[in-house]
Amino acid sequence: MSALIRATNLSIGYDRPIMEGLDFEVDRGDVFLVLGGSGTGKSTLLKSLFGRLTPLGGSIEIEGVGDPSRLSGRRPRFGVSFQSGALFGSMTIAQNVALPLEQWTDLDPDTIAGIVDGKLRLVDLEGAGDKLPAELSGGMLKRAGLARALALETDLLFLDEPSAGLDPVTSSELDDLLLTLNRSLGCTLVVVTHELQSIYRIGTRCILLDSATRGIIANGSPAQLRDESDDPRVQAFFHRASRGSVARAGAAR
Amino acid sequence: MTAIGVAGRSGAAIAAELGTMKVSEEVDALYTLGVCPHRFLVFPRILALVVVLPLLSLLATFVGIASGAFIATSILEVGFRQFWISTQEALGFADILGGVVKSAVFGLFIGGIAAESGLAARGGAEGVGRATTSAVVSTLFWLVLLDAMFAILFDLWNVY
Repeated sequence: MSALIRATNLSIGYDRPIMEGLDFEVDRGDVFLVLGGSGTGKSTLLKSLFGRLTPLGGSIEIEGVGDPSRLSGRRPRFGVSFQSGALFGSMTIAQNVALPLEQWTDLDPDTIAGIVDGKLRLVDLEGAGDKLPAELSGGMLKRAGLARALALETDLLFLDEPSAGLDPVTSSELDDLLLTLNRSLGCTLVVVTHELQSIYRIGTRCILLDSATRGIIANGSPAQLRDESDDPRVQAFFHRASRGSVARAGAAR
Repeated sequence: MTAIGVAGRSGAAIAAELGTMKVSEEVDALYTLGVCPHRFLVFPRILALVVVLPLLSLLATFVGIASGAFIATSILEVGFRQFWISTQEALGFADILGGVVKSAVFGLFIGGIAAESGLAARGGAEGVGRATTSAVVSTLFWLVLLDAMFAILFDLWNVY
């Protein structure tokens, strides 16, 4: 299977590198998870992948085209769902979802309104189109952000902590939605998440970032890493335990 | 004086609004939608200030002359006709045009500096506060500097 995204010897950060020498590939149809503790650079990596941060070194290719930042000002090749939804507060939910369609298509207003209704129905927000973002709950904001990211029929989505701050039921419903997007609509998803339940449920492959080594310490399916890795850092992450307790348990075995 | 008022009110508001949009990732969202934030957020605000500030400046000038007339006639015992003749002698078209041009340039700088300060905000609410303060201080500095430069230019061109 050809790689949809290929990162080669990638260094990311702002003034100085947070992560260095990252090599990984995301295949078409993957639900690819970026995992790691707080401050390891997961969101920074995601921003680099969708072109909002220029890598400090190495390269990123999406469908063989390098430097995603060059996509700025062109019709987006992918959708991005932000942690807070990042909806424009002065516009209604429907206007938010319609914005990329108005920007990049010649469709008439009625057709755009029909597409917006469809996208809002897909994320279970029918009837919320006339509301302002301030009138929605956290979960609804994330789903509205997802509807906007899907407006241009892209088949590649980047999602930054989609379940963060949501109650377990809402989080599970969001996972269902992501699985639908992946399995029914064929979307490739690149997801930053902390939630173990989501990791096992939706992830087909993942990488685990480590701030001490500034690199990837594990790459594989979540279940495989949980069951087969003997790295105490990987075990600590997947068993939600401190590294010390995992090391002690390993020594006792 | 009008520009200073607008810098404190509208300049600060622009910096705070765009700063909040920046730290809440709305500006990033615009980029990912292929929409240029400068065209979508910055240009309309600058254009609004360039158009409105000269009008506000004219209004302020009118209010200033009216206030002068009120003080002259009610306190200084100067007749309105005499005040009006003196005003016409002292005030030429070039003065008004100079004020309009100056305030349009002030509007350009207020909008540009405030918008760029807002878009440079980083680090949550604290970053927005820093950006807003920076915008007001920078704008006031530039207004004083520009005013001095205009004074020199108008003097060289014998506008006043």
